[in-house]
Amino acid sequence: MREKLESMRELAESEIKLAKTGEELRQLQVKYLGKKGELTAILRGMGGLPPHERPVVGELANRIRDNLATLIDGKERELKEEARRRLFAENKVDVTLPGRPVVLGHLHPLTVVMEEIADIFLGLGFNIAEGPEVETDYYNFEALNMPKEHPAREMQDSFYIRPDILLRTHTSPVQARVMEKTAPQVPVRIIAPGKVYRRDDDATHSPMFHQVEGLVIDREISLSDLKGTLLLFTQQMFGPEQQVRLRPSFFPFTEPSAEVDMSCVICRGSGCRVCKESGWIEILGAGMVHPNVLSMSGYDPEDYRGYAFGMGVERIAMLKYGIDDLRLFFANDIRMLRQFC
Amino acid sequence: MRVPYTWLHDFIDSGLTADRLAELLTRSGIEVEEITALGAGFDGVVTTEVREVSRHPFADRLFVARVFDGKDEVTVVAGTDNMKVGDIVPLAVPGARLPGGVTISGTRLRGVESAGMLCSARELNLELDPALDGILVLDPGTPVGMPLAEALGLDDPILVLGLTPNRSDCLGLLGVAYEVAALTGREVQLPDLSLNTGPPLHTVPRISIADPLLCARYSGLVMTGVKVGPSPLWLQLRLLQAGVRPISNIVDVTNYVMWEWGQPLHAFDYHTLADKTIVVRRARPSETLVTLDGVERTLTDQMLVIADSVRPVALAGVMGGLDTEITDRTTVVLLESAHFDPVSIRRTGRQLGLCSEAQQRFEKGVDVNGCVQASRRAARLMELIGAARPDGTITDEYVNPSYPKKINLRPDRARQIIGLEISQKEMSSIFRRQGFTVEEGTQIHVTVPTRRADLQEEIDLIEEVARIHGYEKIDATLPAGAMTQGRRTKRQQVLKKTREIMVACGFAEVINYSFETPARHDRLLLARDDPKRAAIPVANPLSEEQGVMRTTLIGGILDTVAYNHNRNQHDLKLFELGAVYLPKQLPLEELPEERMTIGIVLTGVTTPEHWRHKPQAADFFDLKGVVETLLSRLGVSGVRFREADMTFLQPGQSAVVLAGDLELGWLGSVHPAVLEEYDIDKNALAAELDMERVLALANLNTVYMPLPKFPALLRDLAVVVPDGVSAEQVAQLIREAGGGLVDSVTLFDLYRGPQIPTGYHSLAFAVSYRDPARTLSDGDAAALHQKIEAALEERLGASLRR
Repeated sequence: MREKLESMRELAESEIKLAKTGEELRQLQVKYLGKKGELTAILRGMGGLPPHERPVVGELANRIRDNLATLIDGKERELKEEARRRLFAENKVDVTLPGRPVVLGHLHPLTVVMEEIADIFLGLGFNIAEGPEVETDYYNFEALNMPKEHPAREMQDSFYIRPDILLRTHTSPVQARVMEKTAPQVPVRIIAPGKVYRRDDDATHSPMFHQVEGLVIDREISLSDLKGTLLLFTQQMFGPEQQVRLRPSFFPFTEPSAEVDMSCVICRGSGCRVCKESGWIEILGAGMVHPNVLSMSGYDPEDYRGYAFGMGVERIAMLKYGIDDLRLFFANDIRMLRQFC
Repeated sequence: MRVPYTWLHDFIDSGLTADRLAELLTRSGIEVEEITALGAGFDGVVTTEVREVSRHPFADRLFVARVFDGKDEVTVVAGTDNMKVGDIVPLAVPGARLPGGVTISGTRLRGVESAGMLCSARELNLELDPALDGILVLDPGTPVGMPLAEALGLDDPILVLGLTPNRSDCLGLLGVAYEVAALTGREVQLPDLSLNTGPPLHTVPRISIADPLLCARYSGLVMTGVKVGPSPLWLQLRLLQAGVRPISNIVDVTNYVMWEWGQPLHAFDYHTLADKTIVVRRARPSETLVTLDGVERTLTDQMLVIADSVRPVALAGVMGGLDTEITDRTTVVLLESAHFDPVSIRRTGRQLGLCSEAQQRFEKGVDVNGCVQASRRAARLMELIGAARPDGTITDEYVNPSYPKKINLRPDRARQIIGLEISQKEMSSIFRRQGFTVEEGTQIHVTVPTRRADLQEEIDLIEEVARIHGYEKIDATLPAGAMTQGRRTKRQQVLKKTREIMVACGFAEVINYSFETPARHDRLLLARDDPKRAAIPVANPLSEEQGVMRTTLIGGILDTVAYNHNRNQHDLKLFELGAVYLPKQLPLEELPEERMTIGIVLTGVTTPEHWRHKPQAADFFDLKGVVETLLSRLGVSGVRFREADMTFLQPGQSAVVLAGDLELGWLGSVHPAVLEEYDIDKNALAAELDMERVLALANLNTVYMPLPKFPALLRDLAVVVPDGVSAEQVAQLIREAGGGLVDSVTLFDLYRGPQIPTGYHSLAFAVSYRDPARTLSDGDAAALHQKIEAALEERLGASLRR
């Protein structure tokens, strides 16, 4: 009986080793270890053994059962791993093949810049005001201290709809509208982004372009506050190393007025073609709100003061991204638009 | 305004280099745009003195000159003998380069050795008085043996000013000198302005001003002994530096003084003035005048003229008359120095299309109290160069005088506005340095001369203090005061969100002009009476292409599509978010409505080319999905689509978008005929939504719905319905008949073909049933399903497909 068991074990072991599939293994398990398997069949003959041999043979049978079971388990793992390896080999990819594209759209560069400007000023407690693009002569000029025949009107050749209605030439009329609505409440802190129109069309002028106006009215506002605000803006927009410089200038609706320069973004102040070797680039016009504008809009200039500024969005975008042709903004070439997110 | 460095220093010794001066002026608000110079187009030309001139021994038309270059005497052959012994003339020595690439070499001319070439003004490319013929004879006293460029001051720096419109005082060198005085503390020196004159030889002019509002002052000075000819070289060269062409001495002096004083002058041939009379009046209707440029002008009574006793002789401040101009035969001149109303001058100039230097100065404002000084300066100069001498005194009609203005400045207020501690002493000094009278008390009382018309009130003085003291000294501070909250309004949030959603949907934002050609309305095949044709015309557009304000965004976006197609970019997803301009009436009586609108266009394929799958052409449902996503993300509920025909959309693939019964816009496939108009050979889908209506319905507040506690049961339902029945109708009825237990209805198949009778189609839905309060059993679902099937059969004529 012992011999029977041993020869069964030898046969079973060699069959298990030769098994090629999980299915074959399961059949072998049934064949040798199942309820009706060979081991059971052999053990059934135990009754014919002398009593002292029974425990010895029983122990041997159990050891063989355990050994075979372990062997089958091991073989099964081996087969599974082999199958996976084959699968992996079959499914190997060229990892350099292009991924499946996810198509996202693009904001227009001018929107990107306007949003960035808005976020900077929102953070400073400014709100965003809006006004009509088709505007009255009153708000576009008169309320801004430019009565009829004022020479400064010549600075901005306008598109007219009728003699007293025109396409706004700047975002400054929003100043007058906001003040008129708010006076005599303070503080006023707003920016007003939007489209403006001037009768000019060449390499450096577009008949439509964008501006962002800024206005602060309060009791104690000074030119130094204007300088500080614009310094902060410039540093957030173009980098913390930026400096600003105010140069006296003239706008009918501000006094004192200033052109504001920042360090040249191309050469960082050392002088290049873009800044005409000066190290400075003009980015906006600004000044203290003219007393006439304050009083026309309902603020007594003896009690209230303010500053205002206006910047060209295209110019800022050109400086920020190194775009050299203004007309690209309105050509909407998709190859350009795709470069912005 | 061109400011020659040396000329300016006739009036003030700045003690500064041109570069430093430019920096200082720019910082004070008188922007120096560039520093330039006349520059020499030549090299190797020196000044020499003529020692001898003789005929060429072997050539009839040539001459031989001996000239002294400071060291040696050399012989040169010349083609003309206009120079005399003792004259200083330019010699181009061998090796010299002249304009036009000419190189001079020593040579033999008909047997005589020539050590270079004597030059004419033209050969040196100097645009001097054309009357200067032959070899250029330099002014007496010019040093000998000096490079010509240096002797003529061709390298003298010229500061080109970009003036703001309020600073017309700097349109004269004297005004600039006062500015330099304020900045440096140096003093302005006026030239000798005395008038050397005796009793008049000629009739004293009779001057009268008929319109004191348009002409405040008119002064006339008779100049006699006139010898018209070229001006001395130094004067001509200064005019060239200023950018003014020399013409002849009398006219040159008027221009020269205009450059110094900012006061335009005019010279009449005195003998041509009838009755030696000047009347400043408005032109009579249809009066005519032949101006200096030879053009006969028909005048209107809006134009101011200078007339003699019978006819107009000049357009006041704009252009002189041909009949009275200075000629070679002129012997007596009437020199006009006057002040005219800027507005009237501008109107006249614009009406006649003229824009002279004089006119520009009058338009911007000239100092009425500088008239007579300018006349005196001109008289002195004419005398100095031997062109004429004054006869009698100046006849000065000053009917509408202006006086210096006294303005009070509160030093504290100045400090508050500027935000800088500036002492009262410094403030006063700023005004004194410019020659203003200053009295000090607790306030500063400044008397401002009329030449500074920009200084009218306290704030102007405050700016003057800030600007001369220096903006660069101002600190950077931030506004104090109450805190404010910076926040986008709901409208601004929704519009920002709209852009973000569109970008997430794969669309690129475009920005087109707000004006467009009305021809776009035709290209969109709009009906004659389509309200979109009611566009606001721009009265003075740059071109017909920009003739009207847009009433729709689609025309512009389709142009963008065509533009990109021409550059081989065919697969486009574009949107624009901007206003359309809708008139309340035409012609406009009030401001139009500006309605924020979104336009969306989709062409080509929806996904880019990829090696794993074929790109698919965009269709109606791609665009509809975008519109649905946009509206749903903006929180607009009750959105539905209704078939509707539009001239620019393909019939059968066009719809209006509604929220409830409110029309929000439209979408559809662009009509092939429209695409042809635009030369677009691909399919295109377009939509436009009125964002004002969307904004009113939008809701960005998120409302959280608790997650379901009980599972849903999923059942498919396929029905065959007549073609007239829409998918939406079926889905709607499924929901209705399900009585609140239908969780979702999803169409997953639409089928037409064999097995389905013609005139019918099959729709397959996945219906999910859920009861929020309990778990539904299979039996429940079967009962609901049956109920729904019955309703579909009864109300829509549907039959089940199994």
